[in-house]
Amino acid sequence: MLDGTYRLARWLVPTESEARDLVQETYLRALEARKTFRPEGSMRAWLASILRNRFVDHCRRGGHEVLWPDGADESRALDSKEDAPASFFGDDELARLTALVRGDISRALQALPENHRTVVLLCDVEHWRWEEAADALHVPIGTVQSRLFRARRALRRLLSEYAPEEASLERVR
Amino acid sequence: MSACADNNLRIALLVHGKLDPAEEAQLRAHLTGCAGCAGELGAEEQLSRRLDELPRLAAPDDLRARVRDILRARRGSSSLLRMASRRLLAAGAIAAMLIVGTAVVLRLRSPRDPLTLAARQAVAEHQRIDAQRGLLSGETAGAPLRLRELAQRYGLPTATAFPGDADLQLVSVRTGSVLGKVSATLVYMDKQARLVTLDILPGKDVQIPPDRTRKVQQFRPVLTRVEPCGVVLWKQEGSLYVLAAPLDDQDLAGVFVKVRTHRT
Repeated sequence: MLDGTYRLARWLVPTESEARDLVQETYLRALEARKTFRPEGSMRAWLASILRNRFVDHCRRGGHEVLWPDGADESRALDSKEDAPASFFGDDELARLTALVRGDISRALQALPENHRTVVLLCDVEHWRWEEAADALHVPIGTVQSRLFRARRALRRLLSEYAPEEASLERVR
Repeated sequence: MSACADNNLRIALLVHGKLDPAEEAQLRAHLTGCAGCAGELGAEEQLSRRLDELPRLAAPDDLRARVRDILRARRGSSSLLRMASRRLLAAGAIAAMLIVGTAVVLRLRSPRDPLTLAARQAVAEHQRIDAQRGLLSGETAGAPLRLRELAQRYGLPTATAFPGDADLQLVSVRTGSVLGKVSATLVYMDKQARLVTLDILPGKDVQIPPDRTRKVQQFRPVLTRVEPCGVVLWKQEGSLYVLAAPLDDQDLAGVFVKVRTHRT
């Protein structure tokens, strides 16, 4: 369980030391809030929920906006500007350019908005049940499905954008 | 064409095994005659394969140890043991479940005196850092920034803590855990390459009984030993400070005075 919590933290924050901080805070908070755990629920979903809340708190305290907050923006079309990389790391263009140069799946994931990245990580990387992901994210299963669908479309498009860049780099070499 | 566009969601559901058998059969029949939808399925499957190839990192050992300490400290705390027996069982069960993933087996422990527990945890952390001292050189340059970060993030007085000097260089700033709280761990190295660690954590709820303190110049800290380290504990402006180093009492007292008085 700790490994999964750590991996999620590594995907959410830019540095290893911040991931460690986030995991420690998550476990501290989990013990403080142990009464909120439902015995019939999923322990890892509960921990992921705490971890994500801590992460969002940090972003807000640090003055970073969380793109695509739950709710209102869910219905926006994928083809709009919303495919822009997440702004958690302070420099969207840098994130995008880095992704283009590296052209790998991990960079494409980092370029997604946080709530879309998280749903891909939980459902398609960690292979959680959608119900568990919904529990962790405090959203209906339908929202998990729609986020996953949109996130995967965005990933494919990002990867297809990277491919010509990689090809041109190969030609230069 | 519009029917094929509508199939994109079905294809995504198919890849995730979420279509019921009838819908799946219908879609698969369509796929045999539609190159566009077959290509869509191929792209979705390829994406799934690429996601599956992502590395599955394991939590580092020292993080496991810290999480274990957090859980131990909380399980041993008096507040937990004051809980009604039913709630205690529930809390214990949750703590045990949390630990399962860390592959650590814990014994039930009797409640411990917070000062003794803090000293032991600080020395355990000191030992872990000492075992990884090869990593410290890479952390030295970022230490001042890290001090400010931790001050901002946790409200700990790290930004004004002893910043090191020629005899006792600040080589790393990390987060740790003491008494189940996030602490800032400042790591110094003396001229004999001995590590000195200073943990700073919220200390409003920690009492230091006067009869356990000793006079060191104008101060009255607690001095104790947890081999191989000597440990000094004191309160300062609402924070608990825990200094640990493999030094004898006299040298340790000297380091304590330096750290304690640098701003006064």
